[in-house]
Amino acid sequence: MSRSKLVLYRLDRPALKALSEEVLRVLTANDTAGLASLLGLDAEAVLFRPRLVDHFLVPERGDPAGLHAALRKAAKARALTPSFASDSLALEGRLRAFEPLRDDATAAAAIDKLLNPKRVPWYLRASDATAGWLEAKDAAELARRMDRLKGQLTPELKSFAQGLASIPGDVIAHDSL
Amino acid sequence: MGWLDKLKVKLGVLDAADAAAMEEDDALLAQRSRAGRDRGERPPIDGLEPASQQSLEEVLAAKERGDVVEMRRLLRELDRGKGLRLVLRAAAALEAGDEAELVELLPKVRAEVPAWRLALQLASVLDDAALAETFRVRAEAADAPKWALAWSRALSTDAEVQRRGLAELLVVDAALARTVAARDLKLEGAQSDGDASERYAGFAHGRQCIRRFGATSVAAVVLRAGADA
Repeated sequence: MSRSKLVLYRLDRPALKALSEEVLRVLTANDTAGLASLLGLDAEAVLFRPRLVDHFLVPERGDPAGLHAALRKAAKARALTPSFASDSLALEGRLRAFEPLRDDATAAAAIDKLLNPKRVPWYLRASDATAGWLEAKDAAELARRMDRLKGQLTPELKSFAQGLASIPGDVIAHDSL
Repeated sequence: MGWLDKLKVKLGVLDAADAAAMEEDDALLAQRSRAGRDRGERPPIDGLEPASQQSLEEVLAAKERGDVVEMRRLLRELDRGKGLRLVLRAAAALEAGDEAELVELLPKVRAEVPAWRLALQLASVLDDAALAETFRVRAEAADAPKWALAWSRALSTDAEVQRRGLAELLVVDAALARTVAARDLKLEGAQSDGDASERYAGFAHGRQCIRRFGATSVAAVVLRAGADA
């Protein structure tokens, strides 16, 4: 299994909420032009199925038009600002299993939230991708706790902690955007 | 009841009576499987009633072959005073014109909890779109969870309502939406999602039983229970 590098994004929460509402509206109304415009595609690209929502009810590999990926791209453009990119493939494993972090229940819980794809909107979940969302206060608390442990942290964890601390507000982690 | 079923009951995916009933059915099947391997039969223990030998599957099979007397006998034996078996027993009494038994059962049908569950299972299988909507409105008033309301709409015979239901279900629970698309709607290319299979099975079991029994009679019982309140 190939691994990807984790990226932290600053989340513009109102923008993501507005996008979610817009997606729901176009799918409910079966608004082909609206969906195409939202995704920055030609209308023909979204006409494979008569009911638009069906595009998103099949696995991404069964989506020849690439609408799943286009929607993630739209979400990234509207609501996510890349703020830290790890250059280590080992970061996710360290976050999930590094003992000093696991021993801190608050830090471990925050990390589990940040790496839980169920915490991001459905369209940000990609097959086999790592993703998650952490509220501002939890992100700040995690950064503080990691700073306290910095003497024990590995280089990639230290770098992650600094990156996290530099992000004001809510944070989204993703390895496939 | 196992911890998983307890959790399902807590989340409202399964009601306690149905969980117990499903457990009983499983135990019965296991018992029969063992009995097939046993040589010889043990004598009954004095003073004890033999355990129920019937399952809901046998009730529905009797109904499907038109054996009303046997179906009603089985339902009386299986009924524990709540859950799907109670509701089907009341529906069978209604169909048979047995007013005395029906009147006795209606207060318990009215007291069924969670109130939204039966209403949404009915809404999901009724062919009459207007009547289905009536039950959806009732379920919404009874604080039905969003996923359950959306799922019910996703199975509507009205194309617009169905589209809205699918879109809402995708937002609320994408894994369940994909499972419903694959299993209920047979959407080409859709696949069940393992994350939703437990949730799907818990709700779909009751819905399937109601469909096989006859949703119109069950709906009539629920409406009558409400009207008699």
